[in-house]
Amino acid sequence: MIKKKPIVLFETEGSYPFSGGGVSTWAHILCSELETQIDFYIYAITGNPFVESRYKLPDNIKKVIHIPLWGVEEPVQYYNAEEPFSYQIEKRARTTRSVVKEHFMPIFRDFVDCLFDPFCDPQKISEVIYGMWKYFTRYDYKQTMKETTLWIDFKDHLIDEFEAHKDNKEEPRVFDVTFGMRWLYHFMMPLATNIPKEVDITHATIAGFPALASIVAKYEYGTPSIVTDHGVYIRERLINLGRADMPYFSKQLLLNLSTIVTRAVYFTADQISPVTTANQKWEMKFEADESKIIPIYNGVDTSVFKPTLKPAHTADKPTVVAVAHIFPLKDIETMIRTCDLVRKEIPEVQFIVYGSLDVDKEYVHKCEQLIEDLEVGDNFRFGGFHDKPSMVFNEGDISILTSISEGFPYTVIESMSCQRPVVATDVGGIKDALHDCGILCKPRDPRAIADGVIKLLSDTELRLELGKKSREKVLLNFTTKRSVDSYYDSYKNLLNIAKTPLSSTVKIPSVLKLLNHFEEVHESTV
Amino acid sequence: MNQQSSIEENKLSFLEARYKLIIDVRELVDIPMSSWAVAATIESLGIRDIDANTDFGYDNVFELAEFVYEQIQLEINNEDRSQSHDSYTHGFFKTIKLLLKYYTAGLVLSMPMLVQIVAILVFEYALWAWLRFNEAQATVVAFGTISSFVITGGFIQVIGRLVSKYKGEENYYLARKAVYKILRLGIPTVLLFAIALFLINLAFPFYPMRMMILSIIYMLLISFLLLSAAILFASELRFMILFSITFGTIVVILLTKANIFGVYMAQWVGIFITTILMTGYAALYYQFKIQTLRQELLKQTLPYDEVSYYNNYRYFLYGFFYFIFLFTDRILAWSTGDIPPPYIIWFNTPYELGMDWALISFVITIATLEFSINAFSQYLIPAQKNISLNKMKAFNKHFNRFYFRQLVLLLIISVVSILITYFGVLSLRAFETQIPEIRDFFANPITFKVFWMGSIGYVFLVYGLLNSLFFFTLNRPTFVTYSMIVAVIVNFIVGFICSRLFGFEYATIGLLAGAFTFALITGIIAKKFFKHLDYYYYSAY
Repeated sequence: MIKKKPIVLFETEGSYPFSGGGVSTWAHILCSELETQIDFYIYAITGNPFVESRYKLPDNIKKVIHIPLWGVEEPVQYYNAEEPFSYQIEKRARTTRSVVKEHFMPIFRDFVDCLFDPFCDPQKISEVIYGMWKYFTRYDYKQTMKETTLWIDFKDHLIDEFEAHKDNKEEPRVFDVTFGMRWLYHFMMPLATNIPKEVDITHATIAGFPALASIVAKYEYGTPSIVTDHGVYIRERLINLGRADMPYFSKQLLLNLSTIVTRAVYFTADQISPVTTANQKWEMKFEADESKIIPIYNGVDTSVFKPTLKPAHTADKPTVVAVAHIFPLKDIETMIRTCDLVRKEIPEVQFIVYGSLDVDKEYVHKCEQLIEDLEVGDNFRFGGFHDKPSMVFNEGDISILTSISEGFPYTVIESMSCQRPVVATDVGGIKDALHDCGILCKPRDPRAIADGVIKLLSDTELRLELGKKSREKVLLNFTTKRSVDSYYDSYKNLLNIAKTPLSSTVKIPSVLKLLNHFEEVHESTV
Repeated sequence: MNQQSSIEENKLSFLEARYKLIIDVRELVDIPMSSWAVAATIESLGIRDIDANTDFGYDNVFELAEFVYEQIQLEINNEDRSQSHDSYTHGFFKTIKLLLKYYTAGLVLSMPMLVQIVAILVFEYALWAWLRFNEAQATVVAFGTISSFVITGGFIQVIGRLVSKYKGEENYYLARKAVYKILRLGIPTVLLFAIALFLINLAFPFYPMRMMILSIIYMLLISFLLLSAAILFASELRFMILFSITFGTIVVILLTKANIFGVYMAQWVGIFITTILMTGYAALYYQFKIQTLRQELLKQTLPYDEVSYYNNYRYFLYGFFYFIFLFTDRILAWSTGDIPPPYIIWFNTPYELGMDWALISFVITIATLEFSINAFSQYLIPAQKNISLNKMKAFNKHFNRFYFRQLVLLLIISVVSILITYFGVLSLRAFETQIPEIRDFFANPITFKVFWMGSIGYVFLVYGLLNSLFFFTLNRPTFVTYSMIVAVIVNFIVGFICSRLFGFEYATIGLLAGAFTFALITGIIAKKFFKHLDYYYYSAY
């Protein structure tokens, strides 16, 4: 008898399998490497419906549940594709005003209370989220959210809330309400999706909206869950929303929504695995229990990223290589200034930066201007796209990274795997990688970074020694196999957790009332 | 002493660093949402916990962030930010500019019809009209024309909706796919209808078979023309419609004047060429756009059939019933009379002339809607961004006033257009001694009666269409569809009674009554709509 493989519901947002990037690469490696041990259902949230897989999916990916948040009139045809649309029409017919008022409104009011008190009890938030999902198993999402009484309630609540907290900030506008409610409609759409009962574990790749499925599965089926933090979702939301060109209260609403989701995700997760220890402090501020945090580092394929001799075109020049898309967080300007300082000591030095020039064209122009102003054109160039990523670091003697913000970047461990020591800014989890085998510097400090580069380029013995140590460290701690094995071990541990649905622990009256209603409906059907 | 001064120096440098940081943070976020947001911003500037300690004198980034956040709050509280936003004005000159731009664009839409009128008056021929058609021939063409509008009306509406939607998203690939899908249903429907007409007439000879066959040919050709025009119209390639119709008309004129073909064959060739030009242009345009944007490389599909039907059936019904509404009065008028018509429906020249006369005023008036709907769409978001939340009623009132202004504008333009049309055409009487057709035009008082009743009916219809456009813009097709169905029923009942009791020309009262009904129902809904515009805007997804 063939033993059935455990099934993991793998939750992504804007990444695998429909987009490229670091997270997608990691996801693809994980799913592919566990082909014989684990089956996956990919639960993918995207911004629009017209996407196709960028990867040839391995055979153990049995299902892709695609949830396009925008761009489609009836998104249900995507995420509940197994049900005929006529079933949705039935649900819609069943969703009358009295049903919405009696069963959804109370839960929605509790939800809005949480929205305006995002640091309230995370159990309350989780129960409300579950209650909303449970409601949508029987009643229609779109029809419910369009109900006028819902709108009036939300509007009145918002007006009271904004009036109470506006102080001397911007005046809340009509826009904040109309767009606020629209955003709720779109972002909470995962609550309208079915969660397959046969799933054994849920694995969220971000502590954000895809992980709503994990919360719901925990309550409905008792499914254990793990969250991987590549960056820190809430931190990134804080940065992006802070700078967004949007009215203040709209930003506040979106941020609160992200905050309650993140807190509920961390609260209900059985394991939280950031890719670096540096994320831990943020996770704990947002409800992650320290005892559940088990970092699992990214890994590289050391048989692909392996040391070779420098190619002919860089063999006779001291070369510093970087792999980074050209945009502000990578602080290429500091890298250019570093080059300017280094060339004063080592005139023949070459800095080559491989990375996309299309991410932020304005910033690229700014960098090009700086190169011209400092007259470092002979020593610094943009290499663009490299067709053999595994050979990039072998072009250099060392590599450099001047980012002002990072998680646990692949570029650092790839360079280390190629036995090329790294000079990098001490941000994110870079310290976890470079401690004892690289040079860490303060961000935005070209002098300190330049000193690190000069030291390694001038001292061959030190460079070789650190290079060797780097490779050894990667072989010990940061291989793909080690990373994948860590996840597999985590899955095995989670499978041992008894599946006890949390629905029996629900305390919130509005959700309890709904659960009772569903029991009555079920009994009457039987 | 040295140690003391060193501590003082440190404190000073911390203070300077902190205040510089406050400036840096405010430059990035202006009003931070919380100390968490400040902490995240500080980290994005490359400041670590160790830097928070060595450069700013705090244990970690979070504590530093709390200080920065508090200071920013104090700064904000001292700033004069209070502004009351309870109104939004578009600007008078901006409004005039928009009016000129869109009203002109709306008038351009009527150019194809104008070309036809000029062609008839100057050359005697148009694409499917001839000054010297007798009533039998006119019946053939009219029957074919009316059938084509009615049978394609629903498909035209759905094409318009889907092409506008996808083109608005710059998705030419799906726009084209949607058109193909609709044509795969529309063309067989037209063909089946043609066969059905033929078979019905074979079983129950409403018309001599030759007449029916000629009508069917006109019906088929005009149907395909309308479908191809619908694609161009929705794609905003309206100049090509004008060009193709003009070209086709010239072909008809040349073929007939040169006696190469008789009037029927010449018109069929002209209609066919017009259709080919429009279809060909649309095909090339979309092919070019898709290839330029490389959209064929991305896997994209339309919604499942059942989802498409569900999303579009209301628009289909609206299109179907709209054209039934437009032609009901003619059917009723042409199927009765003091002298019974020779066949079930028989063209009546004075009646048709009156309706065509009224149609000119309709076309001049309807151009206003282009401005109204574009202004509405353009003002919606700026108004929301400018009006305070606690003045929500002001937002709805603002658009209520906007709506009222559109009504006044519509009323003024419709009165002016009726007067211009009436006196403009009337001025042709100066030529009635030289041109017998003009004398004949004004000879029958029925033409005048039908003109006045039709024009007034069209005013109500345009008002109803104005309301419909607002509803369509915010995704409420149900309001329009069911209003139109009721209007059709009223049109038919009133028109039937009046045409049978008082005279065939009073079928126009049916049109007037139906249009009034349409205006009334949509007007009542519009009142509620604008009273709660915030809700309708939010839920327009």
